[in-house]
Amino acid sequence: MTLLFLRTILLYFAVVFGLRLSGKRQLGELSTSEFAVTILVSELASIPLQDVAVPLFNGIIPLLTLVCLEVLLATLCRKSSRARRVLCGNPCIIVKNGKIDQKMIKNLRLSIEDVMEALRLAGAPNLPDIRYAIVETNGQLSVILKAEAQPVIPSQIHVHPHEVGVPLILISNGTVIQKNLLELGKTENWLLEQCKRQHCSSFDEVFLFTLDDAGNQFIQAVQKGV
Amino acid sequence: MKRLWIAITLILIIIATSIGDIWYLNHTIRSITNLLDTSLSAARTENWEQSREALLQARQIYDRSEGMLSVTINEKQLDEVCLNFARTQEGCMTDDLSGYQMELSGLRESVEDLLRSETLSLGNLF
Repeated sequence: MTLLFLRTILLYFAVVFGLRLSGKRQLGELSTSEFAVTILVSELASIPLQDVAVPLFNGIIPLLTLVCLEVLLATLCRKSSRARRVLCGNPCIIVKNGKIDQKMIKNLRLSIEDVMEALRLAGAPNLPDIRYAIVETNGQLSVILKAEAQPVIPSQIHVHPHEVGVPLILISNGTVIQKNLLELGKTENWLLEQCKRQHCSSFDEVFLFTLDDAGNQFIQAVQKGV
Repeated sequence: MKRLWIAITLILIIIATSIGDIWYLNHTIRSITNLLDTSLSAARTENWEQSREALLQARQIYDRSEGMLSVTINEKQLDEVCLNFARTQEGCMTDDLSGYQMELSGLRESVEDLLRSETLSLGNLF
């Protein structure tokens, strides 16, 4: 039992290390190879857990090998467009100027219903409004609307909204985050002053205080009784 | 770039460790099988003392290597070898050549199986 416990801990850290090594490459959907690696990593890590007679390295070595190969191939794809074409494929345009490319959807083995569903999910249900709809290499659909169907942006109507930045946490549950405070060039005195303006006499009364580099701040007081 | 270098280093370490593992296994198994052959030759000439001594040396080499072998080889295979060693040592005490030969061949087979299962071959690959 103790052996199983210790092996589980070791494998857990091996998996976490492996996934950290592969990095945050995808910003949403996984590509084909990354999806395969993610599935395999979990399966491989479970093999030594299911049978204590199996050496731990029988799970760790394949796991690390897969992750390292993933990193190497990702680097190769970044450096070589040909490698990227071979490994990831090319994006495919399935709708152009409001018309579905029938040959392309046949090549991609997509039905009309699949295309319409994807367009609805992408927020572009009307074909006449679409300039391009592209199936990306990770299988996701990107839609570029025609100019007249695109939402209006402030500069088009000569409106200049206040800038926004990335909010940094300055106070978290009563604790001041000094690193973020320094990054924004603020002091604790200034911070306390801002809290007092929002009816919080000390940092302990503040549940959350955020500030971005454009000066937008948010404060929430600690809820009494929680 | 840091991740790339870590990945390359890890791959190289894994390759080096694999080559080292195959070399170590080869060296160990060869030492053990040579001693088993010596033991059998001695038994055939009725020199049971020498036969037992050679078998004991083979067992000692195996016992010293078992820790390293257990890192990459399934425990069940190693247990099989231990069992066969015990049987063979018992068989050697009876001074019965035919019985001893049978036990020894089983032991040799299980020991060589450790090497066969780790060797780079098309059969193992596929």
